[in-house]
Amino acid sequence: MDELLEILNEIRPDIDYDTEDNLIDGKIFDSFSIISLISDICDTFDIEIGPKWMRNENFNSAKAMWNMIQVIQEEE
Amino acid sequence: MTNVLSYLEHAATSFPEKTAVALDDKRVTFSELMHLSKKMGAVIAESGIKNCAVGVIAERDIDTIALFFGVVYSENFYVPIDPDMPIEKKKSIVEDSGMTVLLGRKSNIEIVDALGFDGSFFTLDDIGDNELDIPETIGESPLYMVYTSGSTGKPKGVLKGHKAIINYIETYCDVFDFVSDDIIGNQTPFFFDASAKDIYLMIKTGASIEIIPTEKFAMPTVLIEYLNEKKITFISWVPTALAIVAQLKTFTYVVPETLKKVFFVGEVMPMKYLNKWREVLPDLQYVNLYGQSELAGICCYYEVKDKFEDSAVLPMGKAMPNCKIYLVDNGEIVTETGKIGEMYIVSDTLAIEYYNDAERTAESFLVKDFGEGKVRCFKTGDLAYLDENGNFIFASRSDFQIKHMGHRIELGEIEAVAGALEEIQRCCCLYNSKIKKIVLFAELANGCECTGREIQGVLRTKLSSYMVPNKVVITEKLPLNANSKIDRQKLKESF
Repeated sequence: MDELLEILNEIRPDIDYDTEDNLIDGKIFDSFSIISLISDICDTFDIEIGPKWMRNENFNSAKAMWNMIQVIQEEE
Repeated sequence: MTNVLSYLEHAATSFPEKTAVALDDKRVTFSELMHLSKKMGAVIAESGIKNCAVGVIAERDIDTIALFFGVVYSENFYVPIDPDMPIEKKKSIVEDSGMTVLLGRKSNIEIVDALGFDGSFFTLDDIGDNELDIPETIGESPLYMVYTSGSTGKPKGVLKGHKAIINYIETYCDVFDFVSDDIIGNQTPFFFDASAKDIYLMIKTGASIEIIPTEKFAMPTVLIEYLNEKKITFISWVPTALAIVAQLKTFTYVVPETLKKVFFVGEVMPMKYLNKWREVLPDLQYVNLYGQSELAGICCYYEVKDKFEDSAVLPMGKAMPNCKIYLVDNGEIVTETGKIGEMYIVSDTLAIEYYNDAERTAESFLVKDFGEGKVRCFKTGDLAYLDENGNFIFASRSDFQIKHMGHRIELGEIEAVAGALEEIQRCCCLYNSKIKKIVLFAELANGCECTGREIQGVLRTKLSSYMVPNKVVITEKLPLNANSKIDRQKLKESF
């Protein structure tokens, strides 16, 4: 989780990722942030985020992203 | 034809009930767009200004297009302003352009107040029944002005005229066969110059613009589903947006069904991602576009037909029929294959000037003789060479200007803003094109114990989001060269 928070903080250090659950729908992350975020998550956790995971609900909070990363890691 | 509004009026006559611009479920027909623009023009005209800058807070919305054309009906030129740009940058645009009229939506009043703007602010709610006719436009009448990154930290206004845009859009349509049935999937925000390609293509051909909501770009599968839902046939996007779709294996889940043309512009399209698009969608037309803000549009294009290895570099291609491009090295025209020269562009699509900046205009817009008499040209600062097929291949920038996420950025501007912070003593900004990150190296002021993240946070309030360094590295001492200047090369090597 710390590594994920580090990635998120690099994109937007001013967000409280413990509580924020509207990162995509609330347009807190713009498209460029998402591109950078997905690429950094894939590199850091050595996973591939398949198209079926590309839904707003999987990226709206740090917790949702962390859950997704763990499921993908288990699947791989 | 001397005024771009002739296109709008022609489209409104030919396709009155056809959608001109749409966003989600909201849409405006060509007839409605024309009448809204004429009425907005009448409101602006009451201010008594002519040939002046009128600011438009350019939200990602249908209304923005009517505001732009309203300014044109009023015989003024519009200056799009990014609503989310830091207030100080907005202020510098308002001051530099000397605007006394500002347009936007009602909710933008907060921005107007924060600017301390003492001119007039109008919205579409202010329109009445009065409508204006197309004004008489002579010669180089200005149409719009965009502000681009400036190396001194002060944005520079590039002023473009009706004549240049008309010349450009006529050629663009001739070369690429656009038709009124096309549906343009707009990605570029209207405060960016590249969006003019979509806007003027729409009024010239009667094609419709679907403004794709920003949040759709966050998730590639959602994005492609949206393209299909809106039956989009043409997109002209920054490569980053296209690359992420390919990168994330979106096509194994959903495939564009109505798309015919895919154009990329603003930065280099990585071949490996383009190949993925072509593998799945081999029958689409793929075109690499190259242009500069100092032109009405593009000057060079390359239609991708041949097979390329993933490691190959996509050519910039050949000059558009209305442009001539010369490579110049040490004052000599370069024609040999593989020899690098700086690109000079001769075209009727050149901008009028850098607004209120005769010195910079004289530095970049030159009169030169390339062998066929003296002509006006633009010195791009881009270095390129010719391949064996006569295609231009991009080499690098001749200065510190970079392309990042589709935006043109002067690293010097970031340095100027960062260097002005009290926390920073000295800094240097570099760009790593391989990992696409902007990194700021900073020596802190005495007694300051800020972290890189904290500096990043401060910069976020002063720079557009795409310009904020991805990383701020605090260093005790920046390396200096023999002239006591920051040794960029040495820093680059350590980066």
